Amino acid sequence: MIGHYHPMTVLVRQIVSALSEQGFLVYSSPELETEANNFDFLRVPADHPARDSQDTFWTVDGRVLRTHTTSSQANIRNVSTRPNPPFRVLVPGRVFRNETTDATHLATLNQIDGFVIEESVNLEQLLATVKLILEIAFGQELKLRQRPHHYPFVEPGLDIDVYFQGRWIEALGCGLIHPEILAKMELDPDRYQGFAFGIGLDRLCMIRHGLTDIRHLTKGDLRFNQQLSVRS
Amino acid sequence: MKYSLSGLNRYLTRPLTIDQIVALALSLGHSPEEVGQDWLELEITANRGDVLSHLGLARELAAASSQTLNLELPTTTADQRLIIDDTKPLSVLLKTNDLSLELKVEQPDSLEALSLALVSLPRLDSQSLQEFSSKLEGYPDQHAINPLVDLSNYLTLDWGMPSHIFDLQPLLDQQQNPNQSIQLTLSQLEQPATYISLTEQQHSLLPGDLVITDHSGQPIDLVGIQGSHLTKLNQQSRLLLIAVIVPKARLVRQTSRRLNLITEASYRLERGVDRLLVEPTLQRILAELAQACGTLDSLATVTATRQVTPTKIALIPELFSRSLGFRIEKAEIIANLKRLGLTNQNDQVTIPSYRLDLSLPIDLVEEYGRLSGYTQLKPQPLPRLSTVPPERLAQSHRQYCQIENLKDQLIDLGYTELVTESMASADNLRDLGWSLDQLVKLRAPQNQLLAYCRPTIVSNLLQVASQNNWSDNQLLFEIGTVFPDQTTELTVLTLVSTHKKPPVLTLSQQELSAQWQTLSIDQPLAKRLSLRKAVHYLELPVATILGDDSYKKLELATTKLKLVSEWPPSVRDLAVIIDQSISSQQLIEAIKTIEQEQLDSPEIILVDHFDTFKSPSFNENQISYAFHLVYQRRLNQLQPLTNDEVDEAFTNLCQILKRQFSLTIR
Repeated sequence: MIGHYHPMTVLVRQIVSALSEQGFLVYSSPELETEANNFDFLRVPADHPARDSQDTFWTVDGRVLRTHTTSSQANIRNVSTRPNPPFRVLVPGRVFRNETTDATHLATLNQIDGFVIEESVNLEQLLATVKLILEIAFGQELKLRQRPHHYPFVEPGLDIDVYFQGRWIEALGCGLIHPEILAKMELDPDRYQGFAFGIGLDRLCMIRHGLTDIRHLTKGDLRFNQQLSVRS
Repeated sequence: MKYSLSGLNRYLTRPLTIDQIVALALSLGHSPEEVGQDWLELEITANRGDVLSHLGLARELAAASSQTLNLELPTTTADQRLIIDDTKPLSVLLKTNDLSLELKVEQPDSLEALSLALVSLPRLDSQSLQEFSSKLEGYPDQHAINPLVDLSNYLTLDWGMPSHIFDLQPLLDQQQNPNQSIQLTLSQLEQPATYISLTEQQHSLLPGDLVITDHSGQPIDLVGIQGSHLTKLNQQSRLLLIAVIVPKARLVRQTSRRLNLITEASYRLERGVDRLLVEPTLQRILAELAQACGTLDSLATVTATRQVTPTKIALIPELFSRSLGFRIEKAEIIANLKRLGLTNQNDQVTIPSYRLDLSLPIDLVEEYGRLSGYTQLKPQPLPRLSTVPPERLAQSHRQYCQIENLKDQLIDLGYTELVTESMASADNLRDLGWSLDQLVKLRAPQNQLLAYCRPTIVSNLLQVASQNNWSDNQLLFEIGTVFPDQTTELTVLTLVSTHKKPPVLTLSQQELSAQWQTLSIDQPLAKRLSLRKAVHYLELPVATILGDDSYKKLELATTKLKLVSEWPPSVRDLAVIIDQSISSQQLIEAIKTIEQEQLDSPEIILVDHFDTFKSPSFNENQISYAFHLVYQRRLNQLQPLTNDEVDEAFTNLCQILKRQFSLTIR
């Protein structure tokens, strides 16, 4: 008798397998974060409208369940052993949104963030990296569209859309790491550059497996979970 | 924000169609949300307050379509000009034939700029006034309130500069002042106060809120957010204070968010507006009023601004090529920036007053990218990394691989992996013996099932076991984070089994069978979860059972997964004795093929192979496989299946299988 992997494990493992061949390493960062790491470090101050887009789970003692795996950028610099560039990092993990659960919303979601810090990286390399990830997720070659978007922690910031089944689907946010963030990591922004991306994995899983209700991923109904079979 | 096509085209020398605007807005980073025949709604990001107006978006469209903006600002003609200096209190005095008004600004550092007019309207031509309302209603989703209010609201949408018009008559009546003089103060409150807004809603104000108060200290305006009912305009209003005030953005935000009072004015002011439009906006209101009323002979105006030098940013051409990844000529950069109103002189780029979001050299790269750079990007793979990975990352990566290896071991043992919510309810945790005081509690969860960060995954998996009690041989696992106390965050492996006996378990060469615990059906949690039989569970910190760090490369054999009906499943068990050269997978494939050919029958959503055995009573080359067949209604899932329907489909399936394979149904 063979058991069944969760669809999220398969997706993340496929992404990690492909990117580890390019020198990316998985970094694990806490799910329960300080407000400073989740927001302030990433240039999302308390009195700024950019915070409005986050439906945050606050704990009674003022910490947050991370709203994005991007908080790993703050975490990685926190300890005195911050790796020296060049490095390429992947951070798969859970993120949290204090929203009412329905067919398209969950309180516990999955993301994968990636960031690269080297003496010279650019948007064309970023584009190739996210294209690789998206083609793994969709299981086919894809046409991508890049358009400007504002995320306080990157500059320039971009959204990437994927052309799939006759329409454009918003797939992820990315950009070059903001020089102020590099400086906060005690890296000289004139010497180093970085790129970063963050991808919501639940929606990719839904598209990949033809789901119309996101709750199937966490409900634990074995009629669903045991349908998934893999070849290894 | 919603924009009207004609409102945008008014500022363009070459009018654009709605489709052209949609395409340009998307490429500029203003995502279309909804599009009508002559309007569109865009998502404007928090850093681009300057685009929250027809003028602002038209500026962007003009740049992207290489045309000049059609804009002529009115000449500024304020009677008095003052400088805002944080070290000196500011006093503004306005005097007309009928009235004098003094506004004291107690904390000048709360202000960016202001422009005021004291005016007494001679007569009102109702038809002309009506035009203000018509103009406003020309914009999508706008409704007339009062012609003067409509004029102010129209300018907010047109130029993005909020203004407020006060009716001063009630203040005069209240203070019974024969000298016709009004004293107002603009300050941050020192004491809590009560405020009744234009819409007659009562709000509690706190020290620090920025207000204008009358002579008695009563707040008459929540500056940058909303006026009060005390000076609300009506059809008879003639004696007016017209105020275009730009407070510090953070003060507006602080108060409007706390009161949950988000207005067209506060939304723009907290994002930042163009200070250079303060006086032109006032002049435009006065010009419109003059047109409607004839000359405004009883009028006094004042403008107070800060001395601000334009922002300049160094132009570093190599930063553009280095960041984007392809070679760009300096002349091309300069030409593109110029289209956006960013002018270069001696490699210093001057930033227009409305672009509050630009301050660093890399910001200019983004501007170039938005206008023409991003379309030129071509994916280029990262070069091979030749350095040794940093130790900390190598360790973290190894742990990921070890966890994946552990998952492979569990899948090989027949366990199904689950991913459940990271929160848990108080009741379930209490039943498992957790003291709630030691746990991480969430401040305002959407529902009480999510009240605590989970200290264990056991309760979640027991819940899953209970939900699936149609399957009597469940083996479940989850590897995830738990929060057993205020300071600990730990990754654990949790297993649940509904087998009669705790399963034998060896992981990473460690014998773990003795670690199972059992929840019997008479325990409170089992009752709460409606478990029908005893369940075994085990939870261990994952770090204690990590071994090999090689994991399998996985490829999906199933891509499309079927959605599960809300109704409980109908399950039939199929046990067959068959030649051992036939694998269980072959039988599963055969069952699925038969099912797909029987479109009138219920759907088999899952074939769960739960048992394999050989018996001395079978022939030597025979084997037995047992499956749960899980049925649900095809397509129309409005009603549950009946037993008869499932029985019929199952019998039919057995007959076909018998014909296809020489097998015995047990």
